[in-house]
Amino acid sequence: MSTVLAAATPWGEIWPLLQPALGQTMAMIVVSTAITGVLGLLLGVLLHTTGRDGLRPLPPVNALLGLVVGIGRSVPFIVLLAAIIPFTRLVVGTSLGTSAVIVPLVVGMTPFYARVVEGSLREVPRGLVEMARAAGASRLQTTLKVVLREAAPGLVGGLTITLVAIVGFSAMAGTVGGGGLGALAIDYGYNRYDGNVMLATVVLLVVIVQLFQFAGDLVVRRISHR
Amino acid sequence: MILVDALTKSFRRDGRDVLVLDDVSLSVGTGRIAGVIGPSGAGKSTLARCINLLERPTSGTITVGEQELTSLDDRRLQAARRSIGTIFQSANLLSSRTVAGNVALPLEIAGVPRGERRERVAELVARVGLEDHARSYPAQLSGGQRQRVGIARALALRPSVLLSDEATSGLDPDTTRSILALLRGLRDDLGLTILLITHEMEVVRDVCDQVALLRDGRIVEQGDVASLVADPASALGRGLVPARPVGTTPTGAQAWRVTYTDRAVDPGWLAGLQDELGTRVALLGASVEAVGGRPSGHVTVALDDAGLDLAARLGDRGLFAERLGADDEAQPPSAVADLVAAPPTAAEDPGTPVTRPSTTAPSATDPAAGARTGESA
Repeated sequence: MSTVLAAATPWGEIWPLLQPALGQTMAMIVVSTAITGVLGLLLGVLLHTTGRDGLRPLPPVNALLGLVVGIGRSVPFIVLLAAIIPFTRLVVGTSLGTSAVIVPLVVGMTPFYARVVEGSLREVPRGLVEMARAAGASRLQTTLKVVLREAAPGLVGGLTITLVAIVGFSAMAGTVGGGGLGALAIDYGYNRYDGNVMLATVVLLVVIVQLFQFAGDLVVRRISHR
Repeated sequence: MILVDALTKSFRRDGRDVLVLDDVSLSVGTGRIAGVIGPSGAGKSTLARCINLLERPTSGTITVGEQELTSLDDRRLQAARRSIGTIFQSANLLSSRTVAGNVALPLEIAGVPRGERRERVAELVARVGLEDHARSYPAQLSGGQRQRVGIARALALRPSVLLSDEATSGLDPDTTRSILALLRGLRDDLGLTILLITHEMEVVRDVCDQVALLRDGRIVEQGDVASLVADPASALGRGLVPARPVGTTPTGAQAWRVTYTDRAVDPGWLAGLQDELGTRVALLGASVEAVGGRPSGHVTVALDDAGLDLAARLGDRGLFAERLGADDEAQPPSAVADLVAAPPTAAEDPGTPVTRPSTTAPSATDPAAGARTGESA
């Protein structure tokens, strides 16, 4: 019996097993990161703009945004996953499956990326903002043409970090039937003592993370002229 | 034209108001280059930031060209700022854009169409002598080149006024001279009105038509550079053409300081003086420099005949002579440089021979300084 349980999937049969899981994981990563990037960017710009040294300081708004971000970041992802099931159902119509994982991933990671964005924007020298204002730029023009453009390397670098974190959290997708490499590793590798599947998923995850990190670094290097 | 009238600016800091600019009035005519000089912390940068309304004045008015700026709303102010070019100490270039891209920024902001933009950028980059660097990024440029990009950018929208906040600070003397020459050339070619904020007397001497000395937020002296230099009573004038270290007056002799700023003065005036006066003339110190295109001579001589009235003998030649007391000689040569470097201390201020009441600025130890910080005594 133990031999049956411990039987590792032969290497030749691993790919058919991995392939759908890989597809699910990639979908989760790419879609979640894209949505998180857009929402986090907006939230981060708002945080920075309404902040004390921002282009339009609005302390009450800034405090409220800070609170929302703070709450979002302090709830552990596995708890969030369960806690926002009604919201998930509202958005994608189901609380199960890959698309149902994207919702909590976005909800969980947007506050994180928003803080990364805020930090990057804060790094842009104040003198540049003054220069743009002195040249007659509106606040929106200053944000778009100067602040965001100068912060771009930091924004891309931060998005890479966010993506890697999303890869990690997407592994928990299995708990809501979301599939993906994480779920595969738990189902086969852990529950069935299938060492080969475990090894294959781990290697694949490492490769995915490295590839995205490499791509992110490459973009940062291309757009940075410091 | 720039007109600053009764400008005050106070900041709220640690729960109390700190007065940074106190009743500053300043007028720069069209096509003139004005300097505002003063020690650090005098409020020079705040003044610059108030002129383009990056900082809103607490009271007073700012007029640039025909427009009074403090009464404008946001949108009108944005438009008005386009007629003021600003150059900054650190050039403030976007690291993500090339030289051409940086120069194009104000044009993009103002919505100038692409084709026109490209033409104007090429013209500006050439004007500041950076044709070969149009596609370089700021990180690849030297400090002087970066400042040139800043100047080209400031000129992009054909402003009538150029504001320079310590644009040559941190540049080496040669680069400073070339930047100043560029600014002077721009004034001559384009009729720009230029306001230079600086802490370097050389900058004022080299390029300014007029100058104001700002100390502790107040203008303590201002006027045309040429007349200040010509006025032996002007502390600022003496700061512009500093007295050189002076040798000791021979016993029994009388020391005189001779100043002149007149082009008509014969450069050989000193040569025949000894025979003419019939007494030995010892040269203790001398400097002749060009200020605003005019010679500016400051000469200290000692006459063996102590009773001779040199002022009367030289007066009709455009030379101004003034008898020096023993105290004046003891005055360290650095005292005038301190005019800008730091507020005078109580010890050396009375030693300055001819000081106008208006030039006695409140020093840090002055009781008036306490009142300015807004503390109710």
